Amino acid sequence: MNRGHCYTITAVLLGGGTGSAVRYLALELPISPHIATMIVNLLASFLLGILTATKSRFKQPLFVGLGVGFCGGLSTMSTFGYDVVQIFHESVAFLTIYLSVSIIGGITLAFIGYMIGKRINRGDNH
Amino acid sequence: MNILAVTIGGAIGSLLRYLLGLTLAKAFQNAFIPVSMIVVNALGSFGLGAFIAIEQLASDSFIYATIAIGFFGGFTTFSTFSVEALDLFSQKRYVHMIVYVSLSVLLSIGFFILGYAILVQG
Repeated sequence: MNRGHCYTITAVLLGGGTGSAVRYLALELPISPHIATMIVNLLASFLLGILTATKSRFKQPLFVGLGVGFCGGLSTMSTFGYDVVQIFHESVAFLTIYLSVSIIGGITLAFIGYMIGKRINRGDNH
Repeated sequence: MNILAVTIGGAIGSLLRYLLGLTLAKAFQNAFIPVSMIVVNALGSFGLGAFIAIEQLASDSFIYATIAIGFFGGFTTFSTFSVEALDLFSQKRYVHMIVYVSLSVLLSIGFFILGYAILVQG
């Protein structure tokens, strides 16, 4: 294991820990925990979209720390699965909205983030 | 106190996701859709389901914060799912995208239920 690997692993630990802590703080907000999970998943998709478009601006450990670590730790699929099962027992109508907003919203926000990232790159060339 | 537990659990979960993701990406490099995060997310959802089924553990707020919110929350990811789906869409591989999205979501929910069902008592 060389020094680069050490930096990358440290960056993933720091990013993943921080992202997870922010997700925990969102769960403490006075809103439904289902909505809190949805918001962090959408936010992380948006941020990862920006990062993906601006990848070349980052050194490898920082990119992995922010993308895999922070965005990965901020978002979650396991709690999403748990939320879906809980909402299914409460309201099928809300479940439909929750699934649609999470999935279509996540991909759309990743796209918007990606376009913003491309614009940031272009802005540098002027 | 709980936020520290979440941070540590999330850091370890995220690192395991990264390392397992690298291994799986190599093993499935010729797959027709990105497989590694589907596997990681299904595995993490299975783990969360199994954890929640063990009431003695899941009812303790410190252990819940460490394992459920921290470890399994950090181990699984939604942002990579969104970006990989977007990538398939922008390559106009629409069928691949639908298969990828369906498998990601259905396997995560399915494995969560499976983990819960296997461990739940009574």
